[in-house]
Amino acid sequence: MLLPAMTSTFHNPLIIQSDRAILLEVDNPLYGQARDALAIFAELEKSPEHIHTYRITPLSIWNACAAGHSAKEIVATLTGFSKYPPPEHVLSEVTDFASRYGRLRLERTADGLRLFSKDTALCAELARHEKAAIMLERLDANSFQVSPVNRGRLKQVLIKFGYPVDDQAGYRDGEALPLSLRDQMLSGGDFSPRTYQREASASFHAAGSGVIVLPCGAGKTIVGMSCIEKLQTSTLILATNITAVRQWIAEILDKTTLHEDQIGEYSGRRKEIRPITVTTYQILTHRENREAEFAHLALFDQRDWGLIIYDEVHMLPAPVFQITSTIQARRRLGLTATLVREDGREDDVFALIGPKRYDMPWKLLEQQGWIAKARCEEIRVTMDSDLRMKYAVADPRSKFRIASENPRKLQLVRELILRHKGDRILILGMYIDQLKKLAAEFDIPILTGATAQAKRDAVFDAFRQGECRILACSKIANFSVDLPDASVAIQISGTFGSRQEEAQRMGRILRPKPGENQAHFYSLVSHETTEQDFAMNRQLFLCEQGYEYRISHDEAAE
Amino acid sequence: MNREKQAPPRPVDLPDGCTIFNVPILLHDMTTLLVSTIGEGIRLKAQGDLYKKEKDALFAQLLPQPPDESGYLTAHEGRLTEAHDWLFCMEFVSHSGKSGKSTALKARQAGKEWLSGSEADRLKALYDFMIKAHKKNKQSKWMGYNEIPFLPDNPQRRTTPNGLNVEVLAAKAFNSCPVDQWMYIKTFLQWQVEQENPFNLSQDNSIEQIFRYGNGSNAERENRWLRVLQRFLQQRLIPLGAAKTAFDSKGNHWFAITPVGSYILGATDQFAYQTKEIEGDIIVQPNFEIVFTAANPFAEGELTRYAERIGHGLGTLFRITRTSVHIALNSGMESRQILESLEPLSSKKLPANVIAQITDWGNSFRRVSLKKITVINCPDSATALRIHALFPKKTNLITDTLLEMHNNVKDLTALKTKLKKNGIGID
Repeated sequence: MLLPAMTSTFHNPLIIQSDRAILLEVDNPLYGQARDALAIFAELEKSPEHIHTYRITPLSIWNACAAGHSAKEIVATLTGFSKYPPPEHVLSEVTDFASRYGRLRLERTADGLRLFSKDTALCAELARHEKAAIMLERLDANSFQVSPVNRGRLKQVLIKFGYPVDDQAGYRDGEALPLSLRDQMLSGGDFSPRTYQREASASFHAAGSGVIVLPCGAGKTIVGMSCIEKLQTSTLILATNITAVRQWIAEILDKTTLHEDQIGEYSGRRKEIRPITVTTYQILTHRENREAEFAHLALFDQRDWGLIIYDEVHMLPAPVFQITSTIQARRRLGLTATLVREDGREDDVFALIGPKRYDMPWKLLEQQGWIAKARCEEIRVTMDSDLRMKYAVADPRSKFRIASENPRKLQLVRELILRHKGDRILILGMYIDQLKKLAAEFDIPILTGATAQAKRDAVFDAFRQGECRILACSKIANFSVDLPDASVAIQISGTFGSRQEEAQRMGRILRPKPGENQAHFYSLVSHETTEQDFAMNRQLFLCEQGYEYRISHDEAAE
Repeated sequence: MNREKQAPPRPVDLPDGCTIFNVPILLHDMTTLLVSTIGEGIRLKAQGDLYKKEKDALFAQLLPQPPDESGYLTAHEGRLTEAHDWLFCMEFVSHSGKSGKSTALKARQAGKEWLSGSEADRLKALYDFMIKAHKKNKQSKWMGYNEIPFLPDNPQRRTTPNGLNVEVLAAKAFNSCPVDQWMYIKTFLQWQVEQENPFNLSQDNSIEQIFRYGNGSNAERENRWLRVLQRFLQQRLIPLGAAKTAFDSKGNHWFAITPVGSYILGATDQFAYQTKEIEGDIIVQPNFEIVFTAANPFAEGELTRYAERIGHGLGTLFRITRTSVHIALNSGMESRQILESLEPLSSKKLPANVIAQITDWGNSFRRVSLKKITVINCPDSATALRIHALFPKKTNLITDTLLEMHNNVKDLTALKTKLKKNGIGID
């Protein structure tokens, strides 16, 4: 083991690993500076209590390059903040990745689009590239003619080839839509976007397309509205579900000068196409059968949209990627809490929506009081001996369900409700029977996928108004449901170890709260079962997000 | 050879920029290998060699050594073999399975017990084993089969009538160095060879017949003593942490006998193992990862027992997983001991969820024993009772018609004979 002598850099906050992971000491006096510098070119991967892990990837470097940063700056940051000399190959890779960005440039000419590069050898290689060549018409040694139809597809191919295109072909303005943000909300009270929301929309506006990364509860909708205001153009907004659609509409009406007749809902029930139209990924990707066309994708061309907003861009389904590749002349804004996609298509987001334009760590927002502090507690619940035996002899597939539906959880929910007297509580579960039993027991409303939208809206509204304090929800409440006053979530069952579900459920209670600004997230897990094994994944995820995590046992286990 | 008497070499200060290596690497390697043998064991080829996949995985788990071409550090390729040989000699592992077929290297109970001790305990056990082997050797004519000699490359040696042997003399040579003070290796060896060479000083050829049959020229005697000291330093003192070494980029080397080294060299009865001498933080994170902000091989050795290595050098080096904790529990450690080991290593308070989780894994851990039994299936309860009456102590009635008998070849043979004699046939 090398025992390097303590040097003057030993008190720096970074350790750079040879696998391109960067560890940042949170308690270091230089933490803030280093974090701000790192955020430009590295992705925050984990942020547990003491040491945060960032990672350098080709995409993270290209994001930095797209924002105007050079390899030299990045190398200087790494070297300047590192405790030990950074591994040479990491610095070389940074330089190599950065050198690839912008080597290919897409420009608009009188004849259409032109792909240009000073690198003649690269052009020669492209001319022979199986997938790219068919979209390119050679003009000379350094340029190709590109059909506008292929603009997105070509960018997708080239990013996979390792050479992201600097797209300078510009955008169409779209249909003009005069509007402004209100100083006074219709619902009452002053309104002004927060500083970070203004910074985010300004970054986007300067670039034209790209992704804004903000944690759940940070007000991404307001960033979206600010972007629309800056562009003054008709906008198509894509959201994850109908509840989110209605929230977008309600927010736009509440906080902008637009009227109801200017905002449309394009859903299963309504097909309104107005200057601002809000729709769901689900309706856009709906088709009669597997062979049929995606009829609703025509919505992208049914108006001269100047901006398309992709809410929760990490959820973007494949057909929407496809259509997005054909509308590269329109400005595109992606909103998300994480750039990480379960399907690994981050590069498609980069190529088709655009690079990351703004990022704000949630911990900073929490410190500033813009989102609530969250405390997570996993409570391990014992099983009665009969159930324990049923579980022991069950087949592996049934075990998870038996553990999830442990009836002892009901008693614990009762205790938690008593503990949080006066708080708004969401009870979240995966199994409808379990939720129904619980709803009946506590005489509380229940929302599932089968609940009619009108009833869902009414119940959510009653919850927001405080008319009902406790609400039982299935997976439908996982995404984009804005319940600002919910401060307690009790998860009685989850989708195995889904980290995304955990993040989304947590997001439901992160809106800032009056008083101590404290939210509580409880996970009830049957002790010594597969449910506990799956909960371990979620525990790791929440810890890596930086949430305080406690483990306790119900009294019977003591 | 008559040489002018010279004063012994004096300790020196290390120049700046030296790399220091102060790790009982053998202990680490033995620990790593032994941890891997718990449970299913490590698959071995018919010849007893490791499969490539297992070998690569094991090498990836080893504590890295700094690059050194002098040969004073154990060669990378030989580390697993060395660790295996020691584990085998100390009867901490055994080869299971039939000879000639693929087998497995498995931890034995003694090994598991050794593993559950602290780093200092394990090192002391290693030293004591060696010292015992050394003493035993002094009393017996031949080293026992497969015993690790105090002096390397010396498995079969005659003892001398006057009790002096090469091992005692080598230990004496290194004991002449002040503890914890750096000696320039070249100067030390040269002085030893020229001024204190027992082969030269010997009036006859008795010192193990000039360490086994070398009794030629002075040059040969000097070479032989040089080789003894070099090998003792390289193959015993440094890998056992009894000496630390330092080197620079110009090929200069230094060594210092550690306080614990005095114990194995017989200079003291006090086993004083220092495990905390390096600055820098080790942080146990709530996501069960363990981050090293400075090198600390002592901590790495400790963590090897109950955490999974996921990196080398600096940064995130270990992760505590259910499997790694179960391996530790299976070796005899308790979750309390894991936490007691972890707590002083971590420069920050241990996260509450990590404490709770390790405790919970400990509480839910169960050990079962597997035994081979013979089930005697009787046609009726009367037959079962008859057999039970014939072997009341060796059989148990499981049901009215089923009996169990523990697999013991002698008992089984007796059973068969007795059953036949009593008119009970066997299918």
